[in-house]
Amino acid sequence: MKKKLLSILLVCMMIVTVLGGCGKKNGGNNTQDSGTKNESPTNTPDKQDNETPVADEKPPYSEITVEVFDRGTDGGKTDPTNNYYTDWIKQKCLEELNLGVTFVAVSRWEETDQLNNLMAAGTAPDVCLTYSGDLIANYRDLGGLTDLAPYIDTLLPDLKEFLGPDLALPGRDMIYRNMDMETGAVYSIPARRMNVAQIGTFIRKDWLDKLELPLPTTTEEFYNALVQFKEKDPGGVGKNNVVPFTMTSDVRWRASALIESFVDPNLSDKERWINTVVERQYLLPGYKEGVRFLNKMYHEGLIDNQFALYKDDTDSDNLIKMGVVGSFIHNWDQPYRDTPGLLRDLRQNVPDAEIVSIDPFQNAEGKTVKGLYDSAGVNFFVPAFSKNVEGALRYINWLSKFENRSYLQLGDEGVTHVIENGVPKIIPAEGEKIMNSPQNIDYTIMINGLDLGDEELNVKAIASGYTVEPELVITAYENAMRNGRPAIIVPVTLSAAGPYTQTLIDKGNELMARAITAAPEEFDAVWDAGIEDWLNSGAREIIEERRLKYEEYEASLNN
Amino acid sequence: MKKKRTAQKAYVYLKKTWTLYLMLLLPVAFAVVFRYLPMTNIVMAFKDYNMFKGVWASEWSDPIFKWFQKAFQTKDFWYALRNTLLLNFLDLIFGFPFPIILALLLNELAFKRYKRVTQTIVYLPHFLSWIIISGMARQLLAPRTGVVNVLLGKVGLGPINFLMENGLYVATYIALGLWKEMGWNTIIYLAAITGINPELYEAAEVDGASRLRKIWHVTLPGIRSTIIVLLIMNMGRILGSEFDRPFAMQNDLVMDVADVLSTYVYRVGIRGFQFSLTAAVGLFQSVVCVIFLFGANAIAKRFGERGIW
Repeated sequence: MKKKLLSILLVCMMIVTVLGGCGKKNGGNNTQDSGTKNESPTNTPDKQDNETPVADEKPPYSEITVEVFDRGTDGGKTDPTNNYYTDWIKQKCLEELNLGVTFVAVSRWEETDQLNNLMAAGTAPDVCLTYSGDLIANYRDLGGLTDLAPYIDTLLPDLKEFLGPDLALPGRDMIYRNMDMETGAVYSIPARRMNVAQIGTFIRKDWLDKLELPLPTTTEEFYNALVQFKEKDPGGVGKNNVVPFTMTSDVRWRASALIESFVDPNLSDKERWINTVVERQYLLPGYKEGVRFLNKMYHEGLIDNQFALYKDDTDSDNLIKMGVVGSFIHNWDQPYRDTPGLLRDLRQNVPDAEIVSIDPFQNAEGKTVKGLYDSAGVNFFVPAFSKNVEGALRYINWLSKFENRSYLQLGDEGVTHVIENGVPKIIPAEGEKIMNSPQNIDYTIMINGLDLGDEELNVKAIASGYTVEPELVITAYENAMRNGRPAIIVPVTLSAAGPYTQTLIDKGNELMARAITAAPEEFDAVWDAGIEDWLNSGAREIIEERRLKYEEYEASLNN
Repeated sequence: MKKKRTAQKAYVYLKKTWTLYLMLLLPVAFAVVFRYLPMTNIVMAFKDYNMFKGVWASEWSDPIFKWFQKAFQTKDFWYALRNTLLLNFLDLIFGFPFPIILALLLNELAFKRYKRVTQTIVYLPHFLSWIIISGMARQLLAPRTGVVNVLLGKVGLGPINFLMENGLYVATYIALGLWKEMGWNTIIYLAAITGINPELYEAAEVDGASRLRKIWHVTLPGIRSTIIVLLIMNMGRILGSEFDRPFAMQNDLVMDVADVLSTYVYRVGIRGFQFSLTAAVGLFQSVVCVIFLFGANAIAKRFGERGIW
């Protein structure tokens, strides 16, 4: 009897604990629900109609959630959702806007996947951001985004003023960059990129000096320098170990300045825009010849023959840091950045190493043309299921005010920056005021790059964001901007390329890897077959749509 | 009369054991809630899934097999299907007999401590993830910096491109799989061998059987049913595909033989926002696996084995 009682008791306990677990979960959801219900009165429809809300007016208390990238960077950085700067934002918003702000971390490296999950579950933050235009187009087509157009003049005046006129589309404001031309809806708003420099070519100057070679100013000289690196091993690292030119499987990026110089300079903007699919330019006339040149370099042993195995920068970075690499192409400031710290770490291995920027790749017209970034950067949007659209936009507008974003970008003088020659120079901070991302870029979502409120100061300040010698950065910046080709912006709404994007990116990488490693006599066959496969994998449809949309847009301009 | 008696019997039985059934209720509920209910979402394969509406509110696709047609129409899908079958089949051919042989060898070792140490060493790789193994493979087998090729170079042999040529890639892929899982798979066979009645060996010895004879006539028949059950289970996996192994090992130069269904689905379905396509390919894969499983089971039964059910 006792045993039976005991077993019944045990069973009951098990059931209670299990159901109890469920209950708690439900309870949690309920409180959250009631919490959101409390905030919802701010955007009941009739209230919107009766009194148009004004940006600076203090509404009743409400709450919003804001996405922040978690970069998972090492080096004693703080929790991106809870640190000195988030506390500052929270307190100021509470005081000035009567708004409770909560940050939601999304991994920078799994951005799309995590955002997809949050959006599908209906738990995405009120302010979301992404670099992926595809993702936004996809959400837009599925009806998941709030149209921000009705709020722009009432709730976002400071943002509108800060973003200013759109240089790529004369006569329009940047805030309307992503506007749907047919419906006038604005589903996402871009950030302003202060610095549009994109790509740079770098070379080991100490190696050149040892060989008594000048800095290369033509493709020919660049090529010869690489050949000498290979034959003479100026770094003394062993002839078999020298990597004259390093790249990864992302060839179209890691060789872009070189290949770009082979593209026909007379190509019209129209054809360039139409034939650029998922940022890949394989179809541009001349591009193939650039790849053929890489093929030649590969067979002469000038390119690391393991590049196809490098799925990200790690291996290539390590080779550079070890001091066996002669040159490479990457972001215009890549070797000078604190992460991955290429020059810094290289100097620990080879104390007198120098990595300098060069600008050798001349096209048929003798110009060193290279791409520039669009002045529109990361995009933010508000999900359609957001319970507090107004709160979200109020927050964005507050953040756009100079005093707020400026404090977040620079921090306190003497702690995170010092003033040198009238220009703030970023210094490595310690303690609680250490910034989680450079210039708090993950909080100041409408701006990419330092803005001091003055164009001249801004240019001067570029070099002071680095810990290396300012001359290196200034040269790199000048090289990256020289003969820069601005991004081509055509104000049309394209359907989401989402289903094809990843396939086209992967197939593009395959195409490049195969073409570069192909035997020279088979190069044409390999390239043509790869291009055909690429076109059949969705690129053809995308190009046709782009051509159609472009021609419609042209026609509308003529009318 | 008889009915009444059975009913009574059942009543007595239940009265005695109802607490056990009550306890069973929880695991069953777990299986229903977390295993079977989620399975209903498979209807996604027949719908145009909209993430904001959810699976049930999404529209039915038109035609109903739209996503299956879409998958079957692409060349990449067939390549992935072929590679999945090819790699899994090779895995089966090489991966199945080796653990048995290894188990037999280990079993014959007279020096027990040596046996135990060897056993531990051969099954350790099982605990490494494929990400680590593929990283090690790259460090060891890369054509320029890989240790293996550096050593080959020292004795005058040209670099062997283990990872970036189709045929060699497949060989490396299979060999690494073998290296990683062989030791682990011997455990079950060794356990089965322990279960063989020692009197059989003694009898064989009396009859004058040699070592090989004993292996052939006693040990192998003794673990036959275990072998059959494992073979059936492996057949069920012939179209199933792991994700991390092919994903971590493939590179741009060998995609023709390295892209399998799981990586295809990840790229085209999940990263391309085509969740319905993902579900359709997954469903196709599962159905084929079940067919293989039943087929293998039926064949086993025909040969007089018990099968797995």
